[in-house]
Amino acid sequence: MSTVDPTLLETPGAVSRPDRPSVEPVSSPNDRPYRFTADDFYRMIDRDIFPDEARVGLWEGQVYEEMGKKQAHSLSWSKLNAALLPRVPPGWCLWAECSITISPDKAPLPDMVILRGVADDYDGRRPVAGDIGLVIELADSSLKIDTGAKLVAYARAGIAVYWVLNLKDNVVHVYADPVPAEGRYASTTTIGRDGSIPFVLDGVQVALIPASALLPGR
Amino acid sequence: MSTSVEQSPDRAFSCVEGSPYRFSTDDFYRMVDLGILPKGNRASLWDGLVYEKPPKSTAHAAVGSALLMTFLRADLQGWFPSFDNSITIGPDRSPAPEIAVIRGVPRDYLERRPDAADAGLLVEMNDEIIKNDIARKRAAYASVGIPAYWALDLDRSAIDVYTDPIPSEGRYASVATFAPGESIPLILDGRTVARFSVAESLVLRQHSPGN
Repeated sequence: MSTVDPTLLETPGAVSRPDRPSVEPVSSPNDRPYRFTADDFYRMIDRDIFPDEARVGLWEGQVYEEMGKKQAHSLSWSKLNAALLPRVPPGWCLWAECSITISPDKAPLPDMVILRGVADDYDGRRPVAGDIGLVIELADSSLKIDTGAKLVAYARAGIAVYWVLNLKDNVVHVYADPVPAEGRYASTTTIGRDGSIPFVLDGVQVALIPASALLPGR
Repeated sequence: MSTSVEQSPDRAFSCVEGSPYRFSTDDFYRMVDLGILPKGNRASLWDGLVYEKPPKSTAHAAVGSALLMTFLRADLQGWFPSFDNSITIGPDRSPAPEIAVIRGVPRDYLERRPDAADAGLLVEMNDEIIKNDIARKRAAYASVGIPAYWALDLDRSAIDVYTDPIPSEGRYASVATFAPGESIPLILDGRTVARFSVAESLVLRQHSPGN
């Protein structure tokens, strides 16, 4: 009987290291990925399972770690923060990189959210879809996902307004009027650098923000 | 529109963005002990990802029990069988084989999990297992020097016995297949401590045609 199985040659002799780049996850025989709930996920965070610097989210029951950000992403985030913060009306607050529970097995970490109330309202509880007036994602390499699977999930959760700052094409996609049952937004607008973005909370336009104030470039 | 989540096969990990978070075995055991992961060893860790075992088939459950009884009846001379329990075989791998033959007595492991150095033999069921996966898993066992690995193949009614690990190459130098009518030597610390009849180990399977 042969003692050398070709698949063995693909497997390094040493045990794996947790820091190795993730490419094709190796499946464990016979087993299925374990699906965590959002509650499990928050307990992991609260019990310090993750290092403080880890930027993690939960998607369909699986914990993921966000990639490092490109310079354009950080630049745009800085502009977004500067443009949005003075325009947030009373009764709302701006949170950056905050986990939001959008379904029992999804707790993503959007780049920015506008939450109802004041920050202290969320002492001891996590924001859920009903607390959220606006979700903003900054998208370069994640564009397909942000305008695909994530959009569907946000619409299903009934997130009222969703902006995608598309850093690839230097435009802003504004999605409004979610149709939860169909996982889509009835209103979809793409705004170029020369245009302005209506900042709408609870159906009321509270400001009109020039797209150039959010996107990279002078 | 991206449907990467829906399109991926059931067994695969998929993430909306970024990469799957990789847990260490320490993280994994803490989650088990905190009750975040269900106790009862239906979860395992492989390359930092948490997996869940599907429920055992009827034959798997019965043969597993018969196998455990076979080990319990033998005098393992300083070793004991651990049934369906986690074992640490690396910083990010904690499988739960059907049976692990572990050095010492259970009391030795009240405060820590057994690791590769504590194991004399791992036994796993080979039903429904995808061959590439089992080869990778076996390679991992060889790479950490697990002295012997038995793969019970319920479909073939045979037991493949792998011995003489070559850790640097991630493989076992010897493999032999045992069929009903034969007996397998159980070698621990270089001594044959028992001989197990294959028919006895697989008896329930043989007496349950069509199962």
